Amino acid sequence: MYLSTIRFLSFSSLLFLLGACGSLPDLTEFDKVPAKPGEVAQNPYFSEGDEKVFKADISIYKNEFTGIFVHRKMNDTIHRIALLSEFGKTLFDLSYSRNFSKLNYSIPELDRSYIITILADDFRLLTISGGKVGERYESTETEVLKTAIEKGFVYYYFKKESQDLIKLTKTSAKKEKVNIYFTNFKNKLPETIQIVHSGINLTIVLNAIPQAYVD
Amino acid sequence: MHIIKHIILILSLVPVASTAQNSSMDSEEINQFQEEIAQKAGSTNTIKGEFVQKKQLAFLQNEIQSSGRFFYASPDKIKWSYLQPYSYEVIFRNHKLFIDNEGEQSSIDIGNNELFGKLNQLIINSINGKMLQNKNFETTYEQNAEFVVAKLLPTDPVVLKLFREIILTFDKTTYEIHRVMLVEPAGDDTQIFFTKLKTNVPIDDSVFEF
Repeated sequence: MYLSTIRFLSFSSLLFLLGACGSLPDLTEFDKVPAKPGEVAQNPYFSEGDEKVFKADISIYKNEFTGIFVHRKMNDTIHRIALLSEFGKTLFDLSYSRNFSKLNYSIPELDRSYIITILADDFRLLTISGGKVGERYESTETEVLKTAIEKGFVYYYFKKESQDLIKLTKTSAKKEKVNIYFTNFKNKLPETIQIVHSGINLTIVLNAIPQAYVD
Repeated sequence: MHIIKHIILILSLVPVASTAQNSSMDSEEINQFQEEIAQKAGSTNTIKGEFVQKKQLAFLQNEIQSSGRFFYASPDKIKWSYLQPYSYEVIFRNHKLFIDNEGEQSSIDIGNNELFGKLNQLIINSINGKMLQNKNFETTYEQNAEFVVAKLLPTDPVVLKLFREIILTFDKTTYEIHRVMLVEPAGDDTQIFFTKLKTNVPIDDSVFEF
C-alpha cells in the first residue's frame, strides 16, 4: 500500500548497514566439466513483448510493504518496470538496459531514493541474461553455468531433466550478493520468484498474477 | 502489404466518433446538478457496492484489472476488499489504515501524513459526492444521455504531484457515482467502475474491523 511504502523509505538509509555477507556458492557437490565453446547462459522467462504482472511482497529489516510489479521487455535491449500500489497509483516507472537506467516517474517520496537503484539492479539481474559461460559444473540433477559480469559473477542453476532455470546467484569477486529462486512452475514458467539479498536484509517475493486479469 | 500498412496508419489517426458524445452544460444545469449531488451527499450515511479497477500504463498494451467490494460509512470509514485476482483488504478508520494482505494483517497511523490524508479524503469524497464541493479543484462539467462528467483539476500542489486530473462520472438519473478516473502526471490512469450500489443500507461496524 502507498503509505507503507513511505514508511519503508524512511529505512532506506539503513540499506548500507551490512549484515553477514555470504561466501561464494558452494559447488563442492558438483563436478567441474568442460564449458561448451561459445555457450551463452540465458534466462528463458522474460521474452521481448511479454508483459508480466506480479503481486509483490517486499520486506526489509522487519518492515513489510506490498504492491504490484509490472515488467515488459520493450525491445532487444530495453526493459521497463513499474511499481504500483494496489489502488493502481504508479509509485515509480523505470527503463533500463544492461548498462543504463532512466527514471520515467516517481512519487516525490521515492525521488532519488536508493531503493529504486536496488530494485532496478535486482530486475536487471532477473531479466537480462546472455552472459558468456566461462565455467560449467554438474551434479546428478543440476547443471551450473558461471558467467562473468563487471566486478563479479552470475551463476545459473538449471534442472538437468526439465532444463528449468531454478536459481540465479550474483556474487562479487569473493561473496554472494543476491540469490533469485524460481518456483511453482506452471507451463514451464515460474509462478513465484523470490529475490533474497545476502548483504542487506531485503527480500522480494513476486507472485505472478493470473493472466485472466491482465486483460 | 505496404499499402495495407499505410491504410492502417491513416485509419489510426482518424478520430473515431464516440458512441456517447459529451456536450457542455450551462450554468443553470450545473447549479441544479451540484445541488442534487450535495443533497444526496448530505443525506448519505452508508454506501456499499462492487467495483472493477482498471489500470492503464503507457508502456503496456494490456490493462491491469482487479475487482472486489467496498463499504462506506459517513463521515470517513471506508473498506476496500479486493477479491480478484488477489485477496487484499484495506480499511480506513479513525486516521488509521488497517491492511489484510492475503491473511497477513498490519496497521499504520496516517494521522500525521498530509499526503496520505489527502489521498484518503479524495477517494472517500469521490464516492460520497462531496468532491464537487472541494475548493482545491477547478471543475468543469459535461454531459451525455446517461451521465454527467465532472473534470477536476487539482490546485493543491501536493495532490498535483500525484494526479493531474480527476474525472468523476455520475449517473444522471440516480446521481450515483459510476466511475472515478485518476489521471497521473505522466498520463497513466486508473479507472474504478462502481456497480450494484446500495445507499443507506445498514452496515455493521464490524465490517470496518478485521
